[in-house]
Amino acid sequence: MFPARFDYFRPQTLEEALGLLQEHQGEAKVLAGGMSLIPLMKLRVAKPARLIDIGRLSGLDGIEARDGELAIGALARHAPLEESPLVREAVPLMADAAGVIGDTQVRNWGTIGGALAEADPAGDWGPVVLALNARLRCLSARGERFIAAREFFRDAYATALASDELVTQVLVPGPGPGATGAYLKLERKAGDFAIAGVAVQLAVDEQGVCREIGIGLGAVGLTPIKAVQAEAILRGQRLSEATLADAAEAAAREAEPVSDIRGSAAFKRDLVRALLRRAIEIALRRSRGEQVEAGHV
Amino acid sequence: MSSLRSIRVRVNGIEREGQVEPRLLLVDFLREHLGLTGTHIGCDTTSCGACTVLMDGRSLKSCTAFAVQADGREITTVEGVAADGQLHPLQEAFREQHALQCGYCTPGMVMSALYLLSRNPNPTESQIRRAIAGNLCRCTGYLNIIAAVKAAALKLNTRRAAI
Amino acid sequence: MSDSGREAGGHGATRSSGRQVGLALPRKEDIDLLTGRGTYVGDLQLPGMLWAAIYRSPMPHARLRRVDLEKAAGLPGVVLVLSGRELPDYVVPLSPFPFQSRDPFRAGNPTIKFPDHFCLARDKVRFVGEPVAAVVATDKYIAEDAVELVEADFDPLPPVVDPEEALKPGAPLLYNDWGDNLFLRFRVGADGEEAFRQADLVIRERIRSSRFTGTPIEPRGILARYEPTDRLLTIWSSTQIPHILSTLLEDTLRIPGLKVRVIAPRIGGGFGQKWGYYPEESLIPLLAILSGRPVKWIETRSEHMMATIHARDQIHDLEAAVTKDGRILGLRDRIIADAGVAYPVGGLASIVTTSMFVPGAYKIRHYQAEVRAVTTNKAPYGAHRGFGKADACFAIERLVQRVADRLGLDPAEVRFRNFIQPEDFPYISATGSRYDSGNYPAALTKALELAEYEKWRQEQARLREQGRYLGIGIGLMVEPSSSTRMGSYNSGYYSVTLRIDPMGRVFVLTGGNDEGQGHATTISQLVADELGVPFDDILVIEGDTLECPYGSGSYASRFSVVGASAVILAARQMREKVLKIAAVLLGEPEATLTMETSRIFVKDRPEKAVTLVDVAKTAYYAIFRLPEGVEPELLLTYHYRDPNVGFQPDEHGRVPMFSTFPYDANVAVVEVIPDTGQVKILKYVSVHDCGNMINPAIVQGQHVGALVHGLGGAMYEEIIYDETGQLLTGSFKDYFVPTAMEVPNFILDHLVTPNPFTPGGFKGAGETGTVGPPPVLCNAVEDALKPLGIKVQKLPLSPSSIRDAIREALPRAG
Repeated sequence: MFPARFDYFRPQTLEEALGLLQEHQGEAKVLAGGMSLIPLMKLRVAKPARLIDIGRLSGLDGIEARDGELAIGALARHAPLEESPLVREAVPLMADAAGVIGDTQVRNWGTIGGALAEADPAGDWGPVVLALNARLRCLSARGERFIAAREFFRDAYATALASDELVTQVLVPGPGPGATGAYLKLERKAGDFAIAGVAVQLAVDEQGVCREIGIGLGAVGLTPIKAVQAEAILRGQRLSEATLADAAEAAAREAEPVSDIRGSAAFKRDLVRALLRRAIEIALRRSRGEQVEAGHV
Repeated sequence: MSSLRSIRVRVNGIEREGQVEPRLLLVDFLREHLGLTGTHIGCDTTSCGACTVLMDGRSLKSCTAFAVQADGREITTVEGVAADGQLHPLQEAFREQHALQCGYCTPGMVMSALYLLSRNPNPTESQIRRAIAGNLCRCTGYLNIIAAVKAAALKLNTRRAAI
Repeated sequence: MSDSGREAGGHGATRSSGRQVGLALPRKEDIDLLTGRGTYVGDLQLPGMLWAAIYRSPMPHARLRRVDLEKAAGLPGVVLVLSGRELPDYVVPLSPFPFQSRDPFRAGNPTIKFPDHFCLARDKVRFVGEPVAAVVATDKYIAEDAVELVEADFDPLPPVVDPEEALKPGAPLLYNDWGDNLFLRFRVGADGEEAFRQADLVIRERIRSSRFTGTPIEPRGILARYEPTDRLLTIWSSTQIPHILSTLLEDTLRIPGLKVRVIAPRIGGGFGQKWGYYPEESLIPLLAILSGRPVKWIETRSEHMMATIHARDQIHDLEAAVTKDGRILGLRDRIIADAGVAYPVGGLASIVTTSMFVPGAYKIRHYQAEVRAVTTNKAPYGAHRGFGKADACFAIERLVQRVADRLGLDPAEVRFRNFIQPEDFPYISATGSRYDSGNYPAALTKALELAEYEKWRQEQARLREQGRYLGIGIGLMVEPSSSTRMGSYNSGYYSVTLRIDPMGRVFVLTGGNDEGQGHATTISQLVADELGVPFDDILVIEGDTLECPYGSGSYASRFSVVGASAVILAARQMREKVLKIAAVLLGEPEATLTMETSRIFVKDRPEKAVTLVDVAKTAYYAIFRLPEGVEPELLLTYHYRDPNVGFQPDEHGRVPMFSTFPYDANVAVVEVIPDTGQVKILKYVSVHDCGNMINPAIVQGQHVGALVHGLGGAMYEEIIYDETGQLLTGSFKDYFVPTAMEVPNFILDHLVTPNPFTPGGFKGAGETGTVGPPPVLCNAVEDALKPLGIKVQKLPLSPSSIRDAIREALPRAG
């Protein structure tokens, strides 16, 4: 299992990278951490004629709070994202997700930008950026644009990125007061793709009313799914048993799973219900200052 | 048509050069070009971890990197772990705890455990399990490997304390 | 590169004399393996070496119309291309394996069909992954590029996927000349009408296992070199059976005067998957002959999943005649095994084995089984750790659970009432085996104690009231080891050559093979004790057919049974010879002498001594001093014949196929999480008995590894084909081998009932653990879900299958 031949470029600057992308539009693939692309190339599912290695471009792996947003460079790797005190404090669901991607070796080299651009339907970052209403900063030689997470995923392994464009940053809106979240997935075994994953970001006021809610579902459709109906059921409501049950039902309806070797479609809908309930529970406990493990069920 | 590229990689402390096709996987550069066959191949899908090495100190599955990506970087393979003919305390612990049988996954396990101990000198059992979750072993059932990593941490800490 | 086989040893602290057997010594093998110096087939390079790659059928069942290799041949770097229709005349169909002779077969029982398969398909393909064409190139990347350029045309045929459908009249046929898809039929046991008449009730159950395989982390690999002057073909292969492979190759590549030497270097795990005769094993040598250069092929994991054997996957329709108090008087089983394509890889032997051992640990005097192996468009069925016995135990241990449930009895109690009792040993089973020894009640009692069985039963009742699903599963798995097989090369002997050189170094060469079991260490322990030489003076060499005595390799946990026995008895013979010579040198009677740390001395006058080197030099250089009848040199070969097996089945198919009967009592406590379908293992106890142990650390390591292997089959691993015959689990991304995250901290204990039939009292070890987790965890989950009336129907115990069953059951349960 060896890749087909390709030409290799390792630009020294972002400008050079964008220039190469424009020059080789449609024939080139971007190599960042390589954790998704190289396996596909080894299976010869992907056979790009040219590879533009941006893995060592400087200044693209920062994690910083800026202008009320959390700005995460596209080359930020999963392991530092899991460990970043800033991420753990501000958006713990990102640390949850980062900690359950693949395995240690993959988390050491795989990047958030690469994973998002790969748009694997079972990827862990998709539901997280949907729950967080993040935006993706995209650059090309033509200029800059921002794509909302909700607009980004178009199909399995297909995104709104143009063939000369590069994701350079993930911009997460600064969480409101008391806002927190959790990401949970169930796998067949450690390091496997999610059978289903649910990301929740919420804020509950002192009266117990849900002021802010974001829900992302992973591995239950061709793209990650933003569960807008479930969000609508919860937003502005007290999180009573009945409301939570309604929201879980809505999220299960919004999911579009298919049966595969990891589970039946009906099971995956059940899992969306179960994981959503658990993720909300963890988020609520976290909002009360408790330390709660998440990531895996 | 792709052409050969020159790369320079520091492997186990020695500067190595190579003329490689861009598509050459790092694991094949190590095994076929440098003759460092301790790094093994057990799958095609970044699953088994038998090919784990350290690149710039971080563990990496060398089947999931191109040799050209290692240009200018530092690689440690299992051949570079023992020094001066002496087993590393981690290797000693593997032997003492019977943490290997057929030995095929062992180099990758050693490298993953070495990486863990470089980051966390006192890992808990669950941290050890998580650290080697990207390395499949079919012989041992893992429990002796977990015990070996624990024992190695103790050895290393004792040695550090003695210095 | 050295031509010799694996040479293990030379490391490790020198031990003083004293018994080594029974000590948990660190292994001789480990230092090389820990420092990256273990040499596996993939690590070998020969001058001028080429790489082969194989174009495999993408179709499950099709006529092969045309294979066009022109484009592949034109790729720069490609040296040779070959399709099935271009095979030279001297290539004949793959030899049947392991059945080398039909002599002991009784007419019609078993009935086996041997189809003609060549190493490359010629007219028809019968599973996804079947080799169709080969390319040889200067490097492995180019070889794979060339495979992409192979063009083949197929006329699709209807796939045969379901084994029961395959048996129906009118089903599409894999082999037209057969007239049906029945690969093997075997009947064993006498009719038990009487037992069924006496029974209070008859319990009928269908028990089904899943397709599951071994996946050693080192895939298969072959390097072949041909030297035409001597007609010597040398193969380095990752195989469990080097000698058998050499014989099969000489039989398949019929070049007059061809001699085959097989070297199995370090092997990265076998588990049965390297016990077979695969097309690649004659194809790669053929490519070396045709190209005139050494050729190497290393299997990719994808190839491994699609074209190396699969196992388990049986349907058992059981009928048990039972009394109200839970005694099983009689048992009938009709077994169907989904045998995949009818390759000669040895799975049939495992299917026959299943039928022999369904009664398991229980004193069931009336037993009758019929097994049918059905050919389907899937990868071949073969040996897999637990070889057929795992399937038998799965059936009986699941059945006993159902018997207990039906009668409202405690499943532990039902087992105690049916066990073969300690005083029954040696026990002749209903299928003719002689169980050597054991104490099943003691093992289960101990396991129940360690599991705190009574406490958990109370906890279960308490949690049930809270709507939680706790379950306890029990099993006692007997895993017969060390086999013979009617009509096979596996003829129940083991040969060991012992050589002491003039400097007193001891060389042990065996007809066995090591895939990680630690033979270099355990053989050294045995020889050190018997001969009185230091552990580090002993070198063990296995896996080279030119150097080592003939042997059938490693399988069936046979080393510690027949292998260790051969080593012990060879060493005793050598000791006698050494003492005889020493007696002359010392001028003392032989009976007064003993040997320790390579010194031979008079027992009550230790200062009166000669060294082993003195004796050895005499044997080589001063043969005039040798006593009458003593040959020069210190060299002998010992052939050990297993005393506890037989070869000729009686009219009811009964024959003692296996010689020792290790066993394992397991108790598992689980909680099922109803909304996610997860199974949480709260406790897993194993009490294991393999008789005396040569090296307890090695036994423990083997046993834990086996338990985790079994856990994989119980909870995670399954080979899945879709209804069109396409493989859905073609890599480690979808075939779920457990990681360190999934493994419980087993609670382990050992019982020791020595085997009376081996000189060391050893039984086989290393496979038993694989057998328990599937039935025991199914029993536990079924017990947990009893309030919902759910019967577990399927392996593995995936969250989806459990949650799907709960979802269906919940409305019924109210």
